[in-house]
Amino acid sequence: MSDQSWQVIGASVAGTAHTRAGRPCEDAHAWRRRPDGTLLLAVADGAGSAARAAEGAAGAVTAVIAAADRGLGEAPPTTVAGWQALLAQAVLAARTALEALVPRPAAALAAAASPDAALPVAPVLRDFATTLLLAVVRADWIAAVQIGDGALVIRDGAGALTVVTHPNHGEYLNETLFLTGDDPLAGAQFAIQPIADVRAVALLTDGLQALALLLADNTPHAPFFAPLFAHATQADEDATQLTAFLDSARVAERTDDDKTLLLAVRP
Amino acid sequence: MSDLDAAIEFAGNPDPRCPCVLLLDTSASMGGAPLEALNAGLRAFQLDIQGDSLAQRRVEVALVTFGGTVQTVQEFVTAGQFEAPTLTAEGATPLGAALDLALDMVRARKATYKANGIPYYRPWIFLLTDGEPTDSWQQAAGRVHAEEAAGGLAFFAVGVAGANMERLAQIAVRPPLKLVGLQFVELFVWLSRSQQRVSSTKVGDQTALPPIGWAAV
Repeated sequence: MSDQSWQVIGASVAGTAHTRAGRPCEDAHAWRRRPDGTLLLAVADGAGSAARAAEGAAGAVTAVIAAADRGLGEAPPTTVAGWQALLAQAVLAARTALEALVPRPAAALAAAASPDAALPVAPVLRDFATTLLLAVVRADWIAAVQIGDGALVIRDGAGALTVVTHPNHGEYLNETLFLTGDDPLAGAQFAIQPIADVRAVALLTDGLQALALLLADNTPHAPFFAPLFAHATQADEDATQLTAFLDSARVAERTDDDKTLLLAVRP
Repeated sequence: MSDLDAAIEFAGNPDPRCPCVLLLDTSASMGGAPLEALNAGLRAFQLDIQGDSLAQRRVEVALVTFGGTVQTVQEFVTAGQFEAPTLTAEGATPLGAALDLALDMVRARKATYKANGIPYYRPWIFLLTDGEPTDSWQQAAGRVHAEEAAGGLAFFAVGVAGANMERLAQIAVRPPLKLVGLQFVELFVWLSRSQQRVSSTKVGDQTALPPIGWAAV
């Protein structure tokens, strides 16, 4: 599999609730192609109540891709246990990266002890709260880990769609798991499986869940994915139209959350 | 609409729901100016929430009054269909019984959502009183505390005019707020905006509510 075979386009667009509140887009996405043809993809959705959510999401996707790349080293794992260990260490590395954004206790204490009454409050880890979805894709194998909401959908050579990871929230729609929680791996979804002939991959954050999936049973809505995969095949890695779609009034009518869609196709 | 836009179809899923019970004191002391202001506040709530296309599909409003008797003025209805009633004042303040009813309504609504596969947000109960309970309220207050501790609902209490704020502080978990004058319109617009935020933003453990300009510090 040559390293040029995957065509990737991605876009993260602020939701109308965010623009109304003067907040930037707090979703993020990142990807990397390895020389051996392995594709690394990640999306993240910063928590609406977190003060530094945008930094959390951006930091998480960057760090998890880099850590997964390092973990793959010369060759990918050959067992499910090996893949699980690699994904787990990538998640923990991403969390460590967010922890590095929090001032150390000594610095925070020193700042608080200052006679300057107008110091800003030092951030805590919770301020960077974000979900995280990482997918490592090879032609015949997919390994993914998801913390929180969002979904990973793939299409095989026969055209069949599979929901690999699915939305994960608690009793309430607006409460989910975050990378910054005490134990991010508890409650994480791991999906490590051979797939015959992966031809297309889609990662999405929860703003698009209700448009892309039938939520009652987490099945993929084919008429959502088919045109998008077709578009990705001939978009020549230009995300302009994808961005415009995510920003469209039609989408805003159904959700005012941030929206991210990361598509990879192998023609 | 681009070719891409035109080609993509969306999945049909039920709108997630955000249930909100308004629990309103219509005892005799509310008669006159306070009730006129309260009725104006309800109209302002309807107007404001129906201006938000997502909130009017997602927020579900129920209205229970307590004044002499406890009355369910409005069963849960989608905010888009909510019509602000004109309330009248009479009688004593059976706040305890009204609170029990509101808690039962919330529990039943959640069961309905689950039975029908409808996702939902944490329910709200919003209590407004100008006095204190004239009936037995301790058990209902215990239920509020238990529900809050379990994360089963968000309970807000607002005192008007001569309300017994200490009593409200025993019933509510969050500190109750005191309405400035009769600023019901400001209060209910705030409530509408708060519901819009809850019905839209994905949050972790707390929604950042709009600033409260209608309460005394």
